[in-house]
Amino acid sequence: MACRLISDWLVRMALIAALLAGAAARAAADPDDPLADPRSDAAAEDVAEPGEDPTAGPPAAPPPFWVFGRSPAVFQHADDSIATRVGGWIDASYRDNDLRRSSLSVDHLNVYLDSRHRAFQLFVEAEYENETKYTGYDEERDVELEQAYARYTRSDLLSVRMGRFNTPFGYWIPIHWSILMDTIEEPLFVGRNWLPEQQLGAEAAGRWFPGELAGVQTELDWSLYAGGGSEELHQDRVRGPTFGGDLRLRLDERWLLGASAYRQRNRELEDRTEHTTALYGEARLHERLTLRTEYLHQHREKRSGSWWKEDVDAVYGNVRWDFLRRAYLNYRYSRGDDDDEDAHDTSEVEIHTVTLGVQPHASVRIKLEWSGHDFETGDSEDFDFWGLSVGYLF
Amino acid sequence: MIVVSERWETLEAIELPVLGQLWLGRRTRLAGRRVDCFDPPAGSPVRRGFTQSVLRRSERELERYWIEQALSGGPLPPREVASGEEVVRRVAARRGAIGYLDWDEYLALRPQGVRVLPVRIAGEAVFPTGAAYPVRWSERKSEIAPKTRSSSLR
Repeated sequence: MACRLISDWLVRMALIAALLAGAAARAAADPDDPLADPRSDAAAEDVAEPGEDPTAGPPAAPPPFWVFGRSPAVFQHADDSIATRVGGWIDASYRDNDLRRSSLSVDHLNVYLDSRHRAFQLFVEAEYENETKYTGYDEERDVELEQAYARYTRSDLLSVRMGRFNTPFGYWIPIHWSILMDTIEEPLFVGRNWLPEQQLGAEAAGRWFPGELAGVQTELDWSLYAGGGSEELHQDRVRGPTFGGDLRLRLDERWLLGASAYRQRNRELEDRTEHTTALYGEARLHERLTLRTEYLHQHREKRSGSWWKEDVDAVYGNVRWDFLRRAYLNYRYSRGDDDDEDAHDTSEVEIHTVTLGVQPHASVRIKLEWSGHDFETGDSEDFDFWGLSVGYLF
Repeated sequence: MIVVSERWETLEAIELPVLGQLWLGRRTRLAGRRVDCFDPPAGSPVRRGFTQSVLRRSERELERYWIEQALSGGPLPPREVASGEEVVRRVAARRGAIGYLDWDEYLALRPQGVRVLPVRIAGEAVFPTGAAYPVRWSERKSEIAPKTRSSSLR
């Protein structure tokens, strides 16, 4: 209970601090303030006049901080040794589902604070979440400390972070923010929480540049992490230690191939042990055409009398076509095993999702979506979904 | 467009993909030195040309990339400055700094304290004075015409 109170207090403090910092950033970015204009920070520094050797004399001390960016607001020291970034986003949606009442709600309010000093970084993200329950997805309504971690970066090859961070597994889970998603609906394995969105533990990660292989520039990202469960810190399902790893190969800025593995014990589902693996990839065939796919397999410890399937799979394939500079069409085909924990039933479902996305401004995201859910086995009813979502980044 | 670095004698030339990795914040070190990157103003032809020919992304893709980085605690974007002249000043004043600017602007400035960084293609260092320099575009149409033919033009 004490831990819950402390965590709730921390969340509230983080929210207030981030909102105040955002307000300060806007005040500092007032058009009348010369420091708000990125062109004026040049004038604020002691630099050589045109024609002079800029390295001829020692520069005078620059102002300690100034705003150089907005959305998010960035406060940065002149020598870039210290930087603090404050931002967030909000989204709201109207959802209509054949099987449930339609809903209109503010779904998320997210704020984050990212502060760094040389190789050290502190990142805090808090979120108000209000997700309506409808078939295939679980209801969530909460204020949560989504992420709070400290990271030390020794080199490109090695960094270490500790705290609560997004689970480095597959493509979608580490970047699951709805404001960034191509669609309103999440893939099945995200909505059904096959894995926790966050880990509470430590991670070692890095990036290696092997150079050109067969004429293609390569880059290898790796991550190994271990964590633990805590009911008080919203790590509800996990009991005992968790382990995971992720390896992704980037080829020539156009191709991405990845593999992930994760193990946990699921406290809420009869303490079963779950092993999940994923293969994923992305291809940018053209700057207007992106293909993405992700395949997950989960093996669950079977007990006598338990209702769940021992092995389940989920896969999706996604095509995004940016037919205009700020508009895209997205089609996603998903197929997988869908656990209904209330009905104690596992169905096989096929989902077609079509989305029209519009960005009238760099900070605004509008999505209009239809999806059809066809259950091929089990007792679940087929249904269609319509949704309209509006998001704003600040 | 040309790429300039501070007086970094040990850095002979740079590959375009490495330049892209630096500008996307995925690589932070080069030849044992921490690298800081400087961008000309957003919307300028030279910036658009760099985004398409070196980063191989549209402005929209790049915008999305940096939002994703901000939300996930990823790297900060390169420092944006007001002009090519400002790029030169900043690069000259900082160890490990790299920037880029319009070739004509560079010629007009004739700056000291920086050196033009050749681009390495197929093992050869290519300077911007010749046709094989890979980062070129038509100012009028803002089109990119990357050239991949290799030759040394020193």
